[in-house]
Amino acid sequence: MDTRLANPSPTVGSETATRLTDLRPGCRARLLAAHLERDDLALLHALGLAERSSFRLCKAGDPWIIQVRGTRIGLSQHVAELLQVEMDDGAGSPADDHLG
Amino acid sequence: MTMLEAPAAEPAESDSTPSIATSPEEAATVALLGNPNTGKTTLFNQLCGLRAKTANFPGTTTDAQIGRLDLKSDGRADVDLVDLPGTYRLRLDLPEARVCRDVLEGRAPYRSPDGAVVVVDATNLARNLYLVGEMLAVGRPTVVALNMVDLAQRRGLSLDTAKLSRFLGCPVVPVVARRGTGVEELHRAIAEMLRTRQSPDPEVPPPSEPDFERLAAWADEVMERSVGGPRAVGQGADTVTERLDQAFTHPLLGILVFLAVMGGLFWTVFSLATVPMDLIELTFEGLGGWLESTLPDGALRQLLVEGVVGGIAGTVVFLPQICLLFFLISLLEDTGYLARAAFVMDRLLCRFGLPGTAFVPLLSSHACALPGIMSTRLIPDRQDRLATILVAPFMSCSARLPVYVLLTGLLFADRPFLAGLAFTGCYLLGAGAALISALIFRGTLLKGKSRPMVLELPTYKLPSFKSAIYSATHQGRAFLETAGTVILAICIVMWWLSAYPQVEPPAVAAELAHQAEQLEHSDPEAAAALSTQAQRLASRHAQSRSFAGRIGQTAEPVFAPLGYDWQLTVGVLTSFLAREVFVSTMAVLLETDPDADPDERGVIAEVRAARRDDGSRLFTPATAASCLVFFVLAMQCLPTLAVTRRESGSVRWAALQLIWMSGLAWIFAFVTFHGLRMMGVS
Repeated sequence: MDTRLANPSPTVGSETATRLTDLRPGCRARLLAAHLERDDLALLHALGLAERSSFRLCKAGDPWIIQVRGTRIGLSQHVAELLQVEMDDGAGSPADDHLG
Repeated sequence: MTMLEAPAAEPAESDSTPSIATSPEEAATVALLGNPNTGKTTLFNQLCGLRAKTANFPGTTTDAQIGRLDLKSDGRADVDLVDLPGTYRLRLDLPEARVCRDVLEGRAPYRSPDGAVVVVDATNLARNLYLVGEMLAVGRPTVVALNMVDLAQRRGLSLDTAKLSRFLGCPVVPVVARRGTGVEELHRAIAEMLRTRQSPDPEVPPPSEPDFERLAAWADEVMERSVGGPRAVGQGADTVTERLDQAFTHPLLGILVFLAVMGGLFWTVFSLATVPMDLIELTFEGLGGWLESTLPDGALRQLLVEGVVGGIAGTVVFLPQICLLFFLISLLEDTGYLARAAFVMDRLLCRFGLPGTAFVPLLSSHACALPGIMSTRLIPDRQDRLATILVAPFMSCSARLPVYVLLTGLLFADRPFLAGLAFTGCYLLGAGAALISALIFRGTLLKGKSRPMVLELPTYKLPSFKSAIYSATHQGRAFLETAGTVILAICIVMWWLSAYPQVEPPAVAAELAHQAEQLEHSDPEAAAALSTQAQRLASRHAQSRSFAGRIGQTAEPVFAPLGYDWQLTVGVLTSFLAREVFVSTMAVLLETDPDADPDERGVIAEVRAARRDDGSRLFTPATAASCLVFFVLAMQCLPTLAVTRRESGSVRWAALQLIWMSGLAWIFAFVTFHGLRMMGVS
């Protein structure tokens, strides 16, 4: 069972880190950290959104909608505000979608 | 015996060998699992049809469907197929995942399944492979059903099932559950799995440790080698989906669409259900009449006609509404719209500690709290679900309508506009009480906020009518099982309390009956009027002397501060059977005012003219308003309490619901009565 809590990764404090809610629709980004309860974090992971996962922001505003591979995930404003991300230049390998 | 009925003493299994050898007398069991929104239940319905029953996983309120797979054509005895709750992963700390883990690992009280079928969404294979990987690590014989291959092909995905099967080390069967394509092949694969009992032997072994990153890496490797890598799957923007999502979750347009969809849903439920409801009422009336004319007069006839037939009719009449509601909800859920609607409502409901998914139960409760509470199964979190169950009966259901009509009619007789406002106020008061109560429960007994919404937004697709029919049938059957057991018992007890002890009619009633007999030939109209009056007096006398009547007289001091006399107290107490009983009870109990306008007929006129024992008017405006508020807020529906007990898994929640709602109703009715009197309205 995943027991990781939402601890910020070392890159969170970097200049590239931003909140999901600061992104514009259509852009791609990677998840850096999710400051969520353990259950919600585990659910995000199970839906395919883990640290370093690449995703596309489909819709801004409550609910925020992102697409991770074939999965569209709706996030309430509260959850979206707790996700720290960085812009993705799209240069990663396919496996980077998850593992970085 | 199915695995759900296995004895608690059964030892847990840790190896891959089935714990119980299948004998010819005992059906083998196969677990069906998959991510939510993969068409798992549609496939279950295709495999088992109506040969399924609903049960709860022991110790939980999680719903389990158990179906019978007919594998005779494949040379095997019947097989029990257990539809496990949808879960994204086995290692999640969520009730659904826990049930799946316990069942698959054969932890007591479950018996290990002899094999498993994992349903995966071909359009979203990478994510679905996490669950497959975990299942393969469990080591049970497994078949993978690759669903929605038609959609995957339309999106240009070429899936090599033979290759995928080799990498996973188990059969992979492409299916289109909605159309039934590939179901025969799946039957054969299951039969073969049960014959060989072979554990999966994957060419690319999944990680044995439950580590997400390693599992993700494994899924990527399988994808890479079987369908060309994870980027092959659904990366691009689907403009239709994008536009629909924009519209359905828009702050204004989303609400308008939501109101239109839900308005249409309830209009359909109310209008289409009327015909079968009338038919059910007619059938039961006919049955009651037939029993009355066939059986000799006595206790048995009374019990069957008034207790059994009358009680069951009052509950079963809601069956069409329940079936229709679940049919339409199943269609809506299939289309993918409900997940979007949940976000629209989440903005309002989360302020009161309820999740967005609570909107279906709360809206359904406007038709009847029974299907409303049953539909809380849509809510994944148990705390959220309990909070919704507790407050759903505050919503003004259709059974309250006759009472609202009666009491608003008393309050605003010749002022229809004000009566309409009062009617609307009742609905708002009920909804407001539900939201405030939810807030209180979430701050105390069910501490915590509603789970922040993280929801998969499933692909938009055409709904399956067949699946919706199965869903409606299953829910209808579950409702009838409750109606035929708990509710029937309650009805009989309530009937007995209001019918016994039996007493002789009062002398004045006997005299009127005698006069009616004498006038029967000379003046039949007068005879009929006298006879009706005699029956009413006899009923009133019997009610007042019955156990229910005596309880009413004993309980009068409790309700006196609300402005009620013993007659109104009996009306309130007997309506615990069902709210609509209030109107008929009042019509029976109240003696018509001899000075009342003879042209003014009907129950409202009779009730308006009702007098207390001291001769004063019973329904002053303050009393009527107090009574109306009481009926908006009180838990006066024993069938609802029975369903709450079943759905919450404990009688404690049903007791809390009764005490909370009744207490709140008493306080608000008290404030209304005395507030109006202080303002000079009495």
